[in-house]
Amino acid sequence: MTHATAPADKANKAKPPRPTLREHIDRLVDPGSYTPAQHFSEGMDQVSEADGGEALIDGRPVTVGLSGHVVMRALNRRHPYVAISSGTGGLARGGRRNLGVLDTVWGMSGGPMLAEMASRRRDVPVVSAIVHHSFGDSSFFTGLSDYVVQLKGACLALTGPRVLAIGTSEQVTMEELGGTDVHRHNGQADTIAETPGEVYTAIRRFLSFLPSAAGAPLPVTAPQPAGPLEPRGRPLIEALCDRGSFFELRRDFAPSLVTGLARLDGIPVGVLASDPAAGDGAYSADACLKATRLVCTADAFGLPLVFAVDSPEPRTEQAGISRAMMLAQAVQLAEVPKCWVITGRASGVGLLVTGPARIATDLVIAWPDARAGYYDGESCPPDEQHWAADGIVSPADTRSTLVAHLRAVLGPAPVSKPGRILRTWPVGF
Amino acid sequence: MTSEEIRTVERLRALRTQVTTEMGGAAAVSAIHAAGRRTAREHIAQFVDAGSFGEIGTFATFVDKVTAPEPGPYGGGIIGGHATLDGRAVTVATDDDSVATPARRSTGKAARLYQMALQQRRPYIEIANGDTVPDLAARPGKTGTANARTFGAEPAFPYLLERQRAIPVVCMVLGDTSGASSFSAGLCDFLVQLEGTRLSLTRRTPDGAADAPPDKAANASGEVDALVASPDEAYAVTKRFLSYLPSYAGGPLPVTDTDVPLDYDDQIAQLVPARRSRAYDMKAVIRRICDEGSFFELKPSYARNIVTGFGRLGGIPVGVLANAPMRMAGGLTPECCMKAVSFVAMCDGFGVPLLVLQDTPGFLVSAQAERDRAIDRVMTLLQAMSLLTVPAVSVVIRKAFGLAFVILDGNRAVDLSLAWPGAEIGFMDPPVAANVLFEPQIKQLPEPERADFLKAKAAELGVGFEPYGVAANLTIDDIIEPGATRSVVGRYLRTSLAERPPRTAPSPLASWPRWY
Repeated sequence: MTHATAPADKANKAKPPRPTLREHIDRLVDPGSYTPAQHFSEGMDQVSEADGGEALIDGRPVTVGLSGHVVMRALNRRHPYVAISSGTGGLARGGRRNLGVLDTVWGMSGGPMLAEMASRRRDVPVVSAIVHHSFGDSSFFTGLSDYVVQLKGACLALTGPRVLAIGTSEQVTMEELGGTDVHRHNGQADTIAETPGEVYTAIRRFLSFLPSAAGAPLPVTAPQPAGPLEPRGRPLIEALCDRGSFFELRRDFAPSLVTGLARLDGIPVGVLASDPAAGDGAYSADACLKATRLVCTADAFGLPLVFAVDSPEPRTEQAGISRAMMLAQAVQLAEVPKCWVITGRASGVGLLVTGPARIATDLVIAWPDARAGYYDGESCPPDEQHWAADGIVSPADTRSTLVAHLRAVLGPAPVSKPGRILRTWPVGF
Repeated sequence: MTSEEIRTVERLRALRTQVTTEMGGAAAVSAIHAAGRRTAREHIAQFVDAGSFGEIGTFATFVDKVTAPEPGPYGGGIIGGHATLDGRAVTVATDDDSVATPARRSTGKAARLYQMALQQRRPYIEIANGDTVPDLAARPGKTGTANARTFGAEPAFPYLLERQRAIPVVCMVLGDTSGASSFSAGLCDFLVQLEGTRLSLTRRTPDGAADAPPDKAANASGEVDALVASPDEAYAVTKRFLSYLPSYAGGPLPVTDTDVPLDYDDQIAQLVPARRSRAYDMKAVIRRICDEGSFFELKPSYARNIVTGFGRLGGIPVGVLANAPMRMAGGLTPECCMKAVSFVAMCDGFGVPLLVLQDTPGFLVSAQAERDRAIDRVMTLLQAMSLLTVPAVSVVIRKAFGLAFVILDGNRAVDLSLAWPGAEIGFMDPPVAANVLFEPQIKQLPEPERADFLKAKAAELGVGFEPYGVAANLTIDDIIEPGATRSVVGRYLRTSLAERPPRTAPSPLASWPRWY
């Protein structure tokens, strides 16, 4: 029964032993800050040192645990939770002990934990680190996480190749089933890491943009200058945001839209920029999924949203209607400040998502050469028709205009003001 | 009346007659008829209760015509108003393709009609058959915009984006549809499409050259709830769909025939073969549990390993979510999850109780499923089931394992969790489990002995999977006789609906997208 995994097992034997949970934690958190959970019962949750505990990341408290263990401690303490994948499905933990009684299923699937997670309202940031093969409950947990980082060589799948081979006769390698090349392209991993060190850095960076809990102060840092002015894509983001602050999410999924977290004058924001160099910058069905996840996360944690739009009229793609409307709905329902910079074409879905909410905290600015209209052929520049940009702004003044607006609407000591609706939307788009 | 007043009234009458009979002109109307289609007004006349249509916006026109000396053609590309459907008040808006070709910018008449429906708290139905250019750049509240001139401060679009299932919205695609006319297809509760029509965000092909051809794969995307062969069939399924829903979220459920008996059914058990791997028609089981003739299936040709639809139990509308062992043994794919999530969110948004019938080996795992984002899809279904607020009952008919059981049982969020006495419930399908668990022992056996060993071990495990184990620790609430299913569920729904306090806030699922 080992035929499917035998080559991988042999390869693994040549490698150094994989880090323990404790080793991962020690490398992730601030030195010396980790306090393992003690052997006591917290509510219904029997915890032990082997499950995880509390630590500091950049001086802020977090709970770190094995694949969703002790997550309740983070929810109760209202600070972030980081899951380190266990490398095993649930079967090895509970399945052998008491077969047939469903409490095994329940315990194996982390039932109560999943119930809490599935009905949570994105109160605290939840992160999954896939550093070992992750099946069963540790894969379930990623589907409910706000951020997923996967280490190259680790497999993430509902079930491992061995059970797959037995249950369905399908023979696949770990890499084919749920390796980084799978989840880099289907969007289920927000970041792909080449080394464990990259995993820890990515988690620390992701958390650095978010408040410890919804409603807590926004982690504003000292302002940094921006990069040199560029017209589109990633360079444009670098030019609008504080230099070096851009943290890209789901880079290889739906590349026509670049998404991530960044800082504007020290203020953390969610950024979504069309990349005309990839797929003409279109809001494809997948790009809409990619955008919706970020809009929901930003709204739940009170991060303003900045859109840079240069997107063509829609392609013929029926699957696109519902996804486009889903994104437009999310943008409309998001209650955080929203800013749009129309840098080129605002057509089709690109225009649709700039169209909705116009509340006082929103801002729409257009570059002088911008054009808007649902169809490219009927679009016109902002000064020719009365399309409702708040102003025509030169590329060079864009950053200062955005900063002034955000400073004005957020006030001197920005607190994250989470939206009320999107926080219960699905997590895995 | 003075002669002046009479003249005024006569002018109105003459103009109204002209507008409503000529529509976009005799040529345009005959072209529609020559193509074997119906005009917007004919659609409405044949759809709603006879004589019930009360039109609004008869003299509305296009954005560029509002201040023109000759403001026609009137209607603004949309004909609509209020009417009754099987006696219940509804609001209807229909694309008027006699005036709207080529695409023109409407004044926001559909938005006005939707707003009326929302205020009057009644279902809103769009008949989509056009290619309106969405007026997205102009925004409300901006003085001097085309918008502000015609329709006050109300948004021309997107009027449905904030709907959050406050009232049922239906979109019937009865002609080629794109542009703004296509938007409601992505935001409605029930999407009906006429076979052979094109539904897309744009009227153009990617190279922009010509009209896009009809999308043959339309129904493959799962977004269409009912594919129909004729407009009459579209009207009929829309009426049927609305007959299960309240007129607005939080409103009374349309309960009928409360005296339908909830009798013991001594036939139903025979529909389910005892042999665990034998397929059977779950829809036949659903039809016996529901009131006779009440089952109405949605998305019948998409992800057929799961069945979604409405039925009634003792007259009470109920949403049915059931595994279908006829297809892939009832195993669940990422598509099944999408179909289920979309259905569950709709039921919960409108307060329709949910009945879950389980018979599944679990989620179908494969490399393809992982590429299709199985983890996200499965967990979104778990989220949806965990956020349920409506009365929900789950019945394990024959088998339920692992995560699939945990999820379909609403992660213990269903009100009542039941099983038939022959049901198997456990952590994994026993033959697979035996293989996985006893792998070391199997490897040591000579090849010919392995099959018997596995069979014996699977049988051993199977004993532990009898429902009495899970009933003992209250993982399920009770084991019921198959014949009693209808009466147990029906009586439970009667009492729970009668005692449930009215909703004070919309359910979280009410805001979920129709498809994701």
